[in-house]
Amino acid sequence: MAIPAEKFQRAERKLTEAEAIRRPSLTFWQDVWIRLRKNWLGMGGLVVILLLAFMAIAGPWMTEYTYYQQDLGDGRNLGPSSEHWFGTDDLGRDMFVRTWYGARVSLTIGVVAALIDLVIGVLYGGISGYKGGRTDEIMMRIVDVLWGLPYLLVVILLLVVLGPGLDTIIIALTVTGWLNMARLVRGQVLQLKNQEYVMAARTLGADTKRLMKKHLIPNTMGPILVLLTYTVPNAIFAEAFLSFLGLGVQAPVASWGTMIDDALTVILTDEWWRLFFPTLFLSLTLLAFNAFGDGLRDVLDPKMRK
Amino acid sequence: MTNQTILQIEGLHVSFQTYNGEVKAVRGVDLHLDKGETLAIVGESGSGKSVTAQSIVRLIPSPPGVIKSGTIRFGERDLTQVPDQEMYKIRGSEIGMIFQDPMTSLNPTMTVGRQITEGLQWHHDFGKGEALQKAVEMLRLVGIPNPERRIHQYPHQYSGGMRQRAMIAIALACNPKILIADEPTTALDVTIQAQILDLMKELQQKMETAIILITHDLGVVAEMAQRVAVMYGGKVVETGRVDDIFHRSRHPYTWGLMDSMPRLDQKREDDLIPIPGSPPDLLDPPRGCPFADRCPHAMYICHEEMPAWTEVSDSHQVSCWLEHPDAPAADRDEPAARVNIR
Amino acid sequence: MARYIGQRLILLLVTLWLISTVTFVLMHSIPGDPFSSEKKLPEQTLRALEAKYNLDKPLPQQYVLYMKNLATGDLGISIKTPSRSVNEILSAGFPVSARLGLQAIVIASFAGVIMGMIAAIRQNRPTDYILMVVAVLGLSVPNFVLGPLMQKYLGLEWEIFPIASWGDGFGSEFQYTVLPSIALSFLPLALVTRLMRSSMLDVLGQDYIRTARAKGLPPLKVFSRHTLRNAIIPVVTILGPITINILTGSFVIEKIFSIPGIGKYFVDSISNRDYSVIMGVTIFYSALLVMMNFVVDLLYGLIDPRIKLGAKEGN
Repeated sequence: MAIPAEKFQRAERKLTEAEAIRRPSLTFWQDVWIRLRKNWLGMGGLVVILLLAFMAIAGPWMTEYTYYQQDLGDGRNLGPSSEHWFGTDDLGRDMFVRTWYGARVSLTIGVVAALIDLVIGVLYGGISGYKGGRTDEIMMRIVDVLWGLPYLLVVILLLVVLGPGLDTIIIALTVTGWLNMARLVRGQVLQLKNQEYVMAARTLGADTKRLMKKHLIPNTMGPILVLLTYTVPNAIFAEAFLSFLGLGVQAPVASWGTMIDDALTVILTDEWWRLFFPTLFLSLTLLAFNAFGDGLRDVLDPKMRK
Repeated sequence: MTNQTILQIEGLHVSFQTYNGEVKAVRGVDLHLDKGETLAIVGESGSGKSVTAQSIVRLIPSPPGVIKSGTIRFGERDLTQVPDQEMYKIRGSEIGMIFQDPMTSLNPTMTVGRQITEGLQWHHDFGKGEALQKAVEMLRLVGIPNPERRIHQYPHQYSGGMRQRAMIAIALACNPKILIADEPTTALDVTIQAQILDLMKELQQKMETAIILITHDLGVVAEMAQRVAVMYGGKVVETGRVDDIFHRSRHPYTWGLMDSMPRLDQKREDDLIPIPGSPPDLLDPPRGCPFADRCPHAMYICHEEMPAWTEVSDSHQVSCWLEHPDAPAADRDEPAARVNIR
Repeated sequence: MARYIGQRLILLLVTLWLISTVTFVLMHSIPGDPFSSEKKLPEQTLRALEAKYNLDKPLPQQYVLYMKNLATGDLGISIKTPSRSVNEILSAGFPVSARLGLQAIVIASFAGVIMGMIAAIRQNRPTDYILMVVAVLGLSVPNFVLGPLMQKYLGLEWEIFPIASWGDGFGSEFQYTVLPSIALSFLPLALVTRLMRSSMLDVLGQDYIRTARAKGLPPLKVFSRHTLRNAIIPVVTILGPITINILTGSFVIEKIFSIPGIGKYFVDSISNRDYSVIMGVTIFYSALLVMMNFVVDLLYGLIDPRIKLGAKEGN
């Protein structure tokens, strides 16, 4: 088969096309967001968290009842209905309002405890890692010793002493809770310090801002963010656990933990809604934060970047 | 196929199923390997050279990798067809393999000795003592001092060069007919590289092993190989004896490879010339010559149809449209670098 | 090695001293005396009680006395049931708690390793998804909900297992221990499963697995010799946290299942503010945990030849 002569003409080269950079350059947060959007696990977690947060804020206003208003007459132990969407408890209190009020308490405990952990951890770990040498050694030995303490036992002990309450629970949870964060931050700071040698080596003309944006923040922020996400459900779980031991927030204030504890006393009866709703939303919250944390971890892992 | 040939690959197609579609990593490769010789497969990353080599012993990760078609003749058998049980007997005993990164290729929680003996015990009915003795012998053979002591150590107690020596000991322990070396020196220091290459050559002569050497380093090729296959975009584009490829190469990609390699006789003011552009997307491979997009001599036909093989000599074949009688003469020295990249 | 063990033992003693001191200070910083909640006691009885518990002495002296007793292993006497010493309570409850805890650890680690392994091998297939759903449930359903539900359905309604009873100490009959052990092991099981899965996937992608296959070893041999051992190493590191989890979990599980273990006494002592029992249990369990962590570290050094115990950690 003859090939027409014009086929043997030189073809023009389309190098621009071959050389085109396929991926546009993105900032760290843009990059994280784009990859997170594709991570259905993390996105699912995030959406559920946002919904729960919305209901925690708006839920208690959606009905005419309050979390402490009792109805000791016919209003006791009612199943879910159009009047009381989640039913009522043995004091005739509306479970819908109490569930979302409990969400406020549980989420507050989780988020505030995590944030306090973050602040203490960043300060302690940051100083330890930044100062280095002897200071670092002593500070880390202290962490090692505290590390050996059984976390929940210490919390229980503190609550026995401080007395139950929202503020004391948060204090008790953060007294040992910051250790994880401090260790992590110290590790990150050390890494950051070593990065500075790299910077020094490339000093002349090296763009610090670019280094920060492209290397330091992506590599140090990620693990901290992930740990922060995991801290929230741990604190929420701890509160529920303490409520079960009678060390949670005090009546009439509701948290999911205290509601579950109340409901367990009537588990053998048919008032399934008493246990069902607080457990459902507690589990959903733990699930959502864990899923979000997993998603975030996958997204932020530098090894995952292609 | 001469009676010297011990391995003959024909029409090999290998694909990887990914979320984005089918990556056609190897698209019709023909190769053969003669007894005791060293065949180098060269090409840049993504050219399909490693996948070709790993397909021989079916070591491509599967899933997602699949051998779509083709035959790999090894003696009487077609390695693409033999049952798994038989493949386990061939791997390690008749065909050995060493890999690029000795730091990660050895099991960190098993002594080096144990990693050598387990292959021996699996393929031969060696007793424990016998296998251990053979392992010591192998370590000595690959030049590890004090093998009686070293054999009980873990990989992290070895240096990088020693680990690669240990890898070679593992691969050659059962005296295989073929050794597949997948970038065996890429991860090593330059001085260690030379030692490892010398060792491989020495052992090859002693044990009469044929070697398939995967590399992108033409220096290594010159040092080791008798024959070379140049791969690009999942295809072999030129094959020949070492001097054919180094001195009489006919394919513009091979020219590009040569020009991008530093040479001793190079004048100082001559820069190394990179090949502009990037390799083709094998999710959607080009219809014509895979190199056409980057080729300074590309013609319209190059983009449309894959060129046939041209016999340059008995030992030297090339697949390029420039060989066609109607093609204009190409000037090898028309440098690719003249194209302004930025 | 000996030097390392020595250092660790010193750290262990420091930790224990710190725990007992903190516990002591905390317990004695509660306003009022431990008897104030009771009905008004006659002045004389109060004095006698205070003398009995050394509460009439100045705090530093009390501290010295407590530490002295502690050094000989004497944890004092229960305030609410003065006929019993804390040591008696611990020695009565410990066999029960130990049986429950050990059973839960065994379930969590063995089943967790196997489930994680299967999930990794069947990655992204239905089996994997089902196992991961179970693991996620374990993380999100608290054991104090799971326990009562199991009692209600498996115990009362379907009558598969007996509930609210426990046989004899450590040697209790198996059927009494099934439900509480499972309830207690659910969360650690989930943790181990998830960790084992990701660790397996990591190891399966390692170059040395390819090397083992290149030697011609059949899949089962590659798996047992190369994959499993390396994949299990990270699991060993979470044995410590898991023990803590099971220990604190046993507080609620023992309460729910009315199991006469240390946890139940502890929960009771919290609700009636029996300070000497709270103190005793805290110190006892802390000692247990600190030693457990020590053992885990030694184990880790044994299983992973790369870890040199006592070598300075890199950054």
